[in-house]
Amino acid sequence: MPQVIRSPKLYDVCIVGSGAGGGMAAKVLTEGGLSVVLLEAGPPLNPQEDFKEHVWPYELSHRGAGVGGNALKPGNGMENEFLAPTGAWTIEGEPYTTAPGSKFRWFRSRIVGGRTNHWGRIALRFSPVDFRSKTRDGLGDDWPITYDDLSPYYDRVESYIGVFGTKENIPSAPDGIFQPPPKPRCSEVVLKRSCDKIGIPCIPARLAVLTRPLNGRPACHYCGQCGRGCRLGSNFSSSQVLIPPAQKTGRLTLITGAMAREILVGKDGKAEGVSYVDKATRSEKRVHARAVVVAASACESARLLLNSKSPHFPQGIANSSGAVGRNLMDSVGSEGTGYFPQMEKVPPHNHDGTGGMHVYVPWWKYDRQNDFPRGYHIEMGGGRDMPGIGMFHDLCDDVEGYGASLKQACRKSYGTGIGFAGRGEMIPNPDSYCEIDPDLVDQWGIPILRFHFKWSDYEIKMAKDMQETFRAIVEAAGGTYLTSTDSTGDNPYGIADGGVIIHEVGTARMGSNPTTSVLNGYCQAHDVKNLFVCDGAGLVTNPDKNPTLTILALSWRASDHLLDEAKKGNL
Amino acid sequence: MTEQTKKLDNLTTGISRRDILRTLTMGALGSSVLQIIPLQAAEHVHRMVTEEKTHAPGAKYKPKFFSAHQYQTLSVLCETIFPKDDHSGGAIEAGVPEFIDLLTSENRDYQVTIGGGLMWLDGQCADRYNQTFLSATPDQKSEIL
Repeated sequence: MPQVIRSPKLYDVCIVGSGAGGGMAAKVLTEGGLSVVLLEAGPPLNPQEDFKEHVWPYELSHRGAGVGGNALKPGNGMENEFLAPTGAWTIEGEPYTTAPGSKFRWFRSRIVGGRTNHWGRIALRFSPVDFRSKTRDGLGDDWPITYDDLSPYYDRVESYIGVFGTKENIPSAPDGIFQPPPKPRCSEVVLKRSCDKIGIPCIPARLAVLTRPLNGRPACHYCGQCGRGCRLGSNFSSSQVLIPPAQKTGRLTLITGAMAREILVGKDGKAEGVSYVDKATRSEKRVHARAVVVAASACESARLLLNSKSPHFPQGIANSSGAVGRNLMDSVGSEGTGYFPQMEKVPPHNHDGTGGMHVYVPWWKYDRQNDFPRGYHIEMGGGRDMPGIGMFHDLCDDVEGYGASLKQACRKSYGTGIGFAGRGEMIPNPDSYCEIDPDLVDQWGIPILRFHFKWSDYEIKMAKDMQETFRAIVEAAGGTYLTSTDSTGDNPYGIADGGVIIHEVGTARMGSNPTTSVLNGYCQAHDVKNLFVCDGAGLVTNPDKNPTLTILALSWRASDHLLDEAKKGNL
Repeated sequence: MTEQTKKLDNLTTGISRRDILRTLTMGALGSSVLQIIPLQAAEHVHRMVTEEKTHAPGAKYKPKFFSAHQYQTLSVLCETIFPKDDHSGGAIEAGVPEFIDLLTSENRDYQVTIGGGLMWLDGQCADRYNQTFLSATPDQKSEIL
């Protein structure tokens, strides 16, 4: 048995995870004067080598499918070889299980910057009512903080990372500090007209992509390939925007290939460091710190807390409430495609822009009674994107024959399909949670997670409403809605399996009651005052706004609080 | 700016890709792209395309999975399905046969469906016409497809 290697140094803070939450904490804490050791389970990111920005499909011999790949499903969409190598649906040697009857998929990014490297950059504020959910309709729980508590941090985050958008005064989608948005693309003008016709608001998107230079980062050059990674850092990622300033302070020690195994607890019941597996040497190592910030992604953080059992914390650290792993929520997702005949006649034109949409539909039915609680927004995209592998596959099924007529059909159809994706709020339920699988460990010897997941009628009714809205938008434009769904099957109305939208949150939620929640409003564990959880785990609800902007704001606020407490000697 | 984009941007005499694209975009706003693109810009586009093609898998591709005969059959099939026309090149120019061969060499499912499919095609042609697909007449090819 090799000896456990203890780092002799005592750091002020040990952070686990370098994504949105961990990266923000690293920046704020090091700039605040603290020494920080940051553990990242994956390798460092090297944009110059790892990003395949501006590479044409024919320049890669596999055209995106990857070695041994399938031409029609290049890497399940998220593992296409053009994309930055920043995450995967399956990681060899690091399995998870799902309980019988549950379907859940877990996307994990093991790399510096985590999922901020690939995310869609959709940066939406939660609205005031989102923090008062139980008061509003009796479901779920209220947050221990209000919109007014977080609003100054939204301001700071937007000003620092750069978000484009417009002031709209829509109650469900609060305005922020915005850079000017890019103009809508041709296909987006078509969508906007159609939405106008049926009284659905279609407004400029809000994405964390620069349209003006900011803090030495150049404005977007509109190559439309954010998902491949941006060598210039014009889009926001933790790896390019948060970690570098932390490193510049000289107070950050970044350890990559470090898989956190357990939070160490001192005799006084406080966290005193983290035990991790150094993947390169397969050895057990330890770092010690005065405070620990866990930001490994919601479920990975829950796993770490649950695996940190000690005489002080027999159910896992910070888990006297039993709420760790509970209240697991993803976004409600349902998608569809419309055929827009008017696009056939559009001459070749510049369809470039930021990666992702330039317009979207915020939740608009907040002023009426719906047959499901809460709401959703609609993301839309299509038109003349760069053709990729598998693009005309469906067409070959539909068009009879081959040769010149097939080629002409491809030309005619190119750019006529526009996709819709609804993203809505799930209500937490007792059947959706993660726990430690009692039987299995991963290749590092760390017990793995088992997922339980169930959609309720609320979410299924919402998915139905999404499908009806997509159809209405397409038909108002004179198009044909191509997706057909119904109430039957495993995925009624096209509702995605849990986890697929990659917005899983809630597994160490905050709250004012320590018997039903894990953290206080500063992301600080009720049970362990020098332990913070600064990722999506702390979210009490999962509104129809993608969680990253809120994770960044919560982490900044928590880090400010940690700095204050450190100054007062309270940790 | 990175090496990669520099290479794309400054292939020849200081006229950047962006300049050319801007010209092309302005041209596209008019009625006919071809009439409006200045000759100089068009030349640069051709040079860029040639340069980029040198990155692409070239004509010297050596099949990894299919025999020479099968690869030839595959190429003819690809071009038949997606031919060259007045507007643009066909499947062979796009590198489809080498792409299919590469994926098939690594993917067992494709080895069965595409590899087996090509064998089936020649088998059928032998039964019906006493020929391989390649040596069948145009009418026979059309009939079997």
